[in-house]
Amino acid sequence: MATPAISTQNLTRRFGDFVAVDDVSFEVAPGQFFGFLGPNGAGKSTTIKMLTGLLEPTSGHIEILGQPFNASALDLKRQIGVVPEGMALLSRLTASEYLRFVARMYGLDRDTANQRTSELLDFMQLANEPKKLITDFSHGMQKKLALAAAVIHGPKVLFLDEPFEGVDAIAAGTLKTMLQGMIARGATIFLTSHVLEIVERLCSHVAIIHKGRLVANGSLEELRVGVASTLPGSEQVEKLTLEEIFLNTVGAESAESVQELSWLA
Amino acid sequence: MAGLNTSPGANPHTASRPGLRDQFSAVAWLRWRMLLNLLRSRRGTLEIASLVIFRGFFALIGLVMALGLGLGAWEFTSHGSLRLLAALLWPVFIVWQVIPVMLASFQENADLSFFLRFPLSFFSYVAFYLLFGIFDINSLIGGVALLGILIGVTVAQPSLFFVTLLALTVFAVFNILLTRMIFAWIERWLAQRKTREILGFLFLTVVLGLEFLNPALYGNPGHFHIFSHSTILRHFHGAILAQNFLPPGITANMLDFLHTGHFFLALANALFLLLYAAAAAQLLIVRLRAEYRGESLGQAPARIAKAAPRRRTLDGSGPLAAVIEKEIRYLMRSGVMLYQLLTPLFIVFIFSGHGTSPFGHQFSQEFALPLANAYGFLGLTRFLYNNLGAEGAGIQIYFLSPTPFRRVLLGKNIVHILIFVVEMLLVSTLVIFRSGMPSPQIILLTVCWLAFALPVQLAAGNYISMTMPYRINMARLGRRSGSAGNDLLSLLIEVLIVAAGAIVFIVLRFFGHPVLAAPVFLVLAAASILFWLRGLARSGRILAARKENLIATLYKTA
Repeated sequence: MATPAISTQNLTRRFGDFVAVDDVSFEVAPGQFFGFLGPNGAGKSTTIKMLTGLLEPTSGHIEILGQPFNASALDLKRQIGVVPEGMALLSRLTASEYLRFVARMYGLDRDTANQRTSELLDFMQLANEPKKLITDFSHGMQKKLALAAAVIHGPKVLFLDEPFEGVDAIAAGTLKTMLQGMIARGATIFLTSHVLEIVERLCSHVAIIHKGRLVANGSLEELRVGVASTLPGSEQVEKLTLEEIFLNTVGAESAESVQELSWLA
Repeated sequence: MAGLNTSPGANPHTASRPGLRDQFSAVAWLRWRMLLNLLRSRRGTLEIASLVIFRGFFALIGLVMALGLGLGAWEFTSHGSLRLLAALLWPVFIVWQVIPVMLASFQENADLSFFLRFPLSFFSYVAFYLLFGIFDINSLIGGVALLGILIGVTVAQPSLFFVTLLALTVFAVFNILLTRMIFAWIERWLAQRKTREILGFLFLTVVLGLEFLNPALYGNPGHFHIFSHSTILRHFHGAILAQNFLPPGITANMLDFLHTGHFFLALANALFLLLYAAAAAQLLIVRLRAEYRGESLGQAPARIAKAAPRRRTLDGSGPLAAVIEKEIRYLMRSGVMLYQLLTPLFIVFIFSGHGTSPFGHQFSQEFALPLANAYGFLGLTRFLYNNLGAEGAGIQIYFLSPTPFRRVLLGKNIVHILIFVVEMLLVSTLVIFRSGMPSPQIILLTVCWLAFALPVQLAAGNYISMTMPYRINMARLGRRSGSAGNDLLSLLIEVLIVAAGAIVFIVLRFFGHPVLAAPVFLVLAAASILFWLRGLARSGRILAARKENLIATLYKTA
C-alpha cells in the first residue's frame, strides 16, 4: 500500500477535563477525497486544527505525506493548503493583495505569485472587484477567496473546514469544479462539511466522529453495508443516503422535544 | 409537528415592544455578567484590576482638580464675582474635550452597531450612545471637577445651590454631547479614504503653519517677551469679550445674572447655552441616524468603477517583504491608526511652547526634547504592544504558512521602527520650533536614550502582543474591551523606560558628568537590542503554548 497522505494514531486533545478528540486513528490514501463528518461539537474542527498545526495534540501522532507533522514542520507546511474555520482572511486587503501576500508567505517568487493570483481571481470570478476590500465581500466571495488562498502554492494535501457553509449554488459549483480538478491531478482533500449531499457527491471515503471518538470510517459502500446490517427489515443498501448513514451512526435528536415549543409560529 | 401548528395571531405570548428601561437593564445586566465572567480567568482578573487602577488614577486627578476649582469657586462667590467662574469652567471644558484626544488609544468606545440587531428605537440608540459617554474618563474627571465647583459655590452662598446645580448640569450635558459628537464625526471621517486624505493634508498644513507662525510671532525663540504688557492686556480683554459667547463664559454669566437678579439676562444666557447643546445634539443625531440606518464604519470607501493600472508592489519577493507591505497597507487604510499616531503631535505642540512648562523656560528648553520624545511613544503604544490585534481571523495564515513566526514579527517591527523614526522626527521638529534648539548634549543624550528605549519597547511589545492580545477594530476609535491589562502593562513598561533614563541622567548629573549618560545609554541599547533579537528568536516557542488562545482572542467577533 502506498504511504498514506494523512495518517493519525491515537490522536487525542483535552481541554482541561473535557476530551474533545479521543484516541482517533485513521488514514487517508493519496488522491482520496475524504469527508470528515460529525454533529456540532463532535471534534471535527479540533481534529483539523491539529492536522494543520493550529493546535497541539495532547497525545498521539500525525503523519502527512509519510513524515511526522507538527507546527514547526515548515517543509511539510509548504505541501499542504488549508481553509480553516473563520477562513483566515486579512479583511483590510483587496483580494489580489491578499493572494499575493499568501503566495509570498508560502515562498513563491513575485512573478509566480502575480500570475497565479491573476489566474485564481479569474477562475473564482473575483477579478471584477479589484479595489474592493475583503471586509466588503459577501460570504460566498470570501469562501472562494479563502479556497484560492489555500491552493495558490499548489499543495499536495488540502484541508477544508466547512468550505460550503453559507455558499450559494453558483459559488459551490465553482468550488466543486476546482476540487474535482485537484483530485484528478492527484491531490488529497480532507473535508469537513455539514452539507451531506455535497460530501456524498464528492467524497469517496468518509469518517464520522461523534463526541470526540471515531465511530465510522470507510468508503461510502462500506458504510452503507455497515449501517444496512444494523437496520431492521430489508433496507436496500444502495438506496441508503449519506444522511441516513450519518443519522443512524450518531443517532438523531429527539423530535418530541421540539413539540414542546408550542409558542412557535 | 403537531405542537408547532399554531398561528401567530393565536399566540398569547408574542413579544411586546421592549421599553427603554427594559433594554437599559438588559444591557446593564449584560455588562455586569461580562464583568463577573472576566473573574473566571487570571487574565480577566488582571483586566479588572487594571480598569480599577486606571479609573482610580483618573478619579484622583478629578478630585485634585475638584479641590482646586472648589476653592476657586468659593473665593469668587464669596467676593460676589460669579462671572469669574468662567476662569474655572474653561479648564473643565478643555479637559473634557482634550482628554479623549489624548486617550484615543486607551479609552473604550463601544461599537453600538452590535445592538442594532435588536428592536432598538432610534431614541434608545442615541440614549445608549450618550450613556456610554457618561462613563468615559473625561466625563468622570469633568463631572467630579464640576461637583467641586458646585460645592465651592454652595459653601460660599448656599442659596445658589439649585441654580448652580442646574447651570452646571446643562454645562455637563453640553460637554457630553459635544465630545460624543466630535468622536462620532471623527470616526466617520477617518473611515473614508478621501476625507482621511483631506484631513491629513489639513493637519500637516496646520502643523507646518503653526511652526512658521511661532518664530514669526516670537522672532528669536530665545526672546519670549516680545509683546508689551499693554498688548497682552489688550489681547486678554478681547479674549474675555469673546468668551462671553462661548459655553464656559455663558454658564458663568448665567449664574452671575441670577445672583444679581437679572433674570431675563440669565434666561437669555441659559437659552444660549441650550442652543449650543442643541446644536451639538443635532450634529450627533445626524451622524447616529446614519449609523442607525445601517451604515457601517467598517465599509471601504466607494468603489472605483474602473480598475486602476497595475502598480508595482512595494516588495522584493519573500515573506518578510510581504509582511512589511501588508503592514503599510493596513496602516494607510486605517484613519483611526493614523489618527492615533498624529494625536501626540498635537499635545506636544500645545505643551512644548514657551511658558507652558510649570518648571520655567530654562527647564522647557532643556528637557522638552527628551520629554516630548518620551511622550511620542504613546502614539506607538498600540502598534508595539498589540501588534497582532488587527489581524482578526487572518492571524491563522501566519501559523499555516511555512514562514517562521519570528520573521512575521521582524517584518512588523521593521515597520514599527520606520513609524518610530518618522514620529520622533516630527516630534523633535515641533519641539525645536516651539521651545528652541536644545543643547548638543541633550540632543546626544536623547538619541542615545531612544536607541535604548526602542528595542526594549519592541521586545516587550512583541511579548505582550503574543500573551495579552486583544482584537482591534480598524474603523473605530478607542480601545476594545479586554485591553485594560495590556494597556496597564504597556504603560508601566513605558514609565519604567523613562524612569531608567531619568535616573541615569540625574545620578550622573549629580556627580557632575551628565554626558557620561550617553555611553551608559549605548551600553543599555546594545543589551536591549540583544534582548529584542533573543525575544524574536524565541517567539515560536513562546507562541507554541499560546497559539490557541491567540487565535481565539483575535477571531472572536465581539
